[in-house]
Amino acid sequence: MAARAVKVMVSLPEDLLRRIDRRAEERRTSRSAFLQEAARRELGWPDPEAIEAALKRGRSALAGAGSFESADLIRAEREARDAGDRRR
Amino acid sequence: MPAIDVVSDANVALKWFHAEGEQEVAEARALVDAHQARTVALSVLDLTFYEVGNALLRGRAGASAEQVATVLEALGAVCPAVQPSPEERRLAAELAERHDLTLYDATYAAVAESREATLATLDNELLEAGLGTRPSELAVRVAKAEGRGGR
Repeated sequence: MAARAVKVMVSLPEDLLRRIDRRAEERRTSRSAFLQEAARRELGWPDPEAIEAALKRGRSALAGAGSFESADLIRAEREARDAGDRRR
Repeated sequence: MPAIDVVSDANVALKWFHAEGEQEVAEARALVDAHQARTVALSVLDLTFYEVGNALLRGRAGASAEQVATVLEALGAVCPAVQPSPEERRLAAELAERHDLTLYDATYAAVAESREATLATLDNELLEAGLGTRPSELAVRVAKAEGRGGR
């Protein structure tokens, strides 16, 4: 469930606000949505230890997965989905 | 020094967890090292989770649901996932048409272009269209940014 959005009042330099609005307009998104994403990006930068632990978990899960090239696997998936989309 | 923004294609992200039979594993993983050092700001797309999961479950890898769930959870912990904006979806459609790409391919390129990021990929179609950069090329750029010169 999405968290409730609350209104906040923040102070920003005018030139920074102009840059934010310009970029938000280019992306056809709102100022609020742009700032939310920027904050998530900053806060969401995980700490190196958490990344290391995640890499270890993921690598351990695929330790016995055998030999394959990811680019081939992903390409095959994209083409299969694309072909499916065209048939619809 | 500002971080180099990199959007990772699913084929590069999968190499963070899988090595056997893969090309450019060290270079793909060097991007994560640089992300940990905050020289690179890595991101994937929301789409990446479905692509990685599908490739593992339904492709030659034949991974179990448990393995896939673990890898997707780990992927989510490594870097943020970006949801394309409406404008980026429009750009993706234009790139798909212009370069005869699937919309899946083009969405990665559109998000990278719109956010002034580099798309790290080993996909031949994206590379041939000039829309992506191999991890090995990117590693040289990152090394220079870190003051280590070329590799």
